[in-house]
Amino acid sequence: MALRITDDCLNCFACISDCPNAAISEGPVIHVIDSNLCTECVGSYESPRCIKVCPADTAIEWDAERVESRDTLLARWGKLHPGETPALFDSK
Amino acid sequence: MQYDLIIVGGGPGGAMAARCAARDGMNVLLVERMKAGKINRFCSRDLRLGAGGFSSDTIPTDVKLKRVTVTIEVGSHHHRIHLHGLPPDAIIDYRGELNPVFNETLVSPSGRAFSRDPSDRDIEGFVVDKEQLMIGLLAEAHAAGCVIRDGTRCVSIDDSADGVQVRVTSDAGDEVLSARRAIVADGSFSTLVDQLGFNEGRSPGRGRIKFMNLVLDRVKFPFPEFRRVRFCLPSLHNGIVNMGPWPPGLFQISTSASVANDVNLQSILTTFTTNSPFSELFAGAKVVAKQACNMDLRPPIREAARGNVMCIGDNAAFAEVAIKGAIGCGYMAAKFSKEALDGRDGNAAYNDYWQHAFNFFSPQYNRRADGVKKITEALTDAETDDLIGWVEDRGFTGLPNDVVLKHREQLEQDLPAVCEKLLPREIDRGDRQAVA
Repeated sequence: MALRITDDCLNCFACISDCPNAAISEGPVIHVIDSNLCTECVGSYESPRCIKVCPADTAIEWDAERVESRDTLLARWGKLHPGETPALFDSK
Repeated sequence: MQYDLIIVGGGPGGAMAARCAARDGMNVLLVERMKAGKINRFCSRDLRLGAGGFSSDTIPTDVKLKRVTVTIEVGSHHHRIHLHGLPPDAIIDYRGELNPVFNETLVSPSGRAFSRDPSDRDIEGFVVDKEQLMIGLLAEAHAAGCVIRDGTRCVSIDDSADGVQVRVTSDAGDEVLSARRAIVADGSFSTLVDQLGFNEGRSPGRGRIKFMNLVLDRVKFPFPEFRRVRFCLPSLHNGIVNMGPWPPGLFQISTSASVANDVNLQSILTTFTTNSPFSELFAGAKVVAKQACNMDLRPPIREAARGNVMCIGDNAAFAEVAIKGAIGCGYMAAKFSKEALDGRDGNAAYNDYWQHAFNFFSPQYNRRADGVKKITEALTDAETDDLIGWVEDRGFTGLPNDVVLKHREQLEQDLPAVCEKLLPREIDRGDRQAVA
């Protein structure tokens, strides 16, 4: 599933610079995750970094309407990080 | 067009730098990514008067520190903030509210308590309207000729012998702005410090922590005099819940946790206010606003001025810079940037100021800060009651680390198990010592 930022976002910028794919940016009201850039941190971390650093707990959620396979996410990571080796962890 | 100086960040540090630089005749631009004068993230509104530190009041003897202290000329609507240790042109006009803070008190789960200062009648600082402070400084900077662009985020800075290329993005798109020098004042969660290479060799320290702050009205404040209240409830959270006044006429409670631990700060604060020994204070209270932030608890950057760039304030150290420190840094960075442009070694002068203006450059201070385990991490609720009750019964006052260290022999005798938990023989707290 992709990740989505909810209205509980407090605009503290913690997630923006931590995203390994630069997928998060400021929107008009709250921050926004570009689902074409988000790989749910597959390729970089064990679990989504944004959720880890976010102080607001309910501000980032899984988007049940956009389910993507691990292969899809890994392929996207590869395109965003050409020439780099992904960091892989056991699938959940 | 090329500026003399570009300042990134319109908080107290950046705004002060902008005012000084503009008044000194420099051609200055300030860029701020949010709306100028509006604070979105959680940050403290404390303007402390003395030179005291955050974790210890003991004056270090290992480093010759020249810390900035503050006095305030109080008028009926118009106050003037004086920073001692700085020349008179550093005085700031402030037209916001002043909420006196009389003490700082640590409270145990059962309500035992002891305070930092023996007196509840001496003002140790003020909770100020920080936005008003910033708006005032920015207005003065603008009046002196500084160009201010808000809604403009700095993405990266290239520093070379020819000057700085500052890449920004805004509704107008992406641009590259040129200047001879830059001052980076982008706060406790800076990306530019890393991008500029200032984090090379800098230990991760105690890592990243996240904060949440709730602004509340109609709190039953537990003391007759306003103060910072620090609640210990280890069974709920291994961190302190802070409470204090918050402009205008409101209150705040906040807490923090390491991002490594997946702690739900919202649920901690909700439980604290609705289902804890302290909930009755919040029985009629309503949440008016929520704020959050992150902070990197890395050791300070010693050489914060390099090449054509000076990094000032919270981005170069962890949280203990505070408002008065940020204003002092902003002032000095502007002065020494000008000196650098005039061919003198402004970087060396700034670094010398920076390294002597704060406690956290003293290894002695850091040892005291790290030398006692955190009460909420080490003790149970009952042990916390015992410890704080012991301090209260004996009439000791001071910051917790100072009290424990000063009276450790007595503590060892009276509460040996607690003493062993707070002062174990081996402590590994991560490296707070400053590195180059």
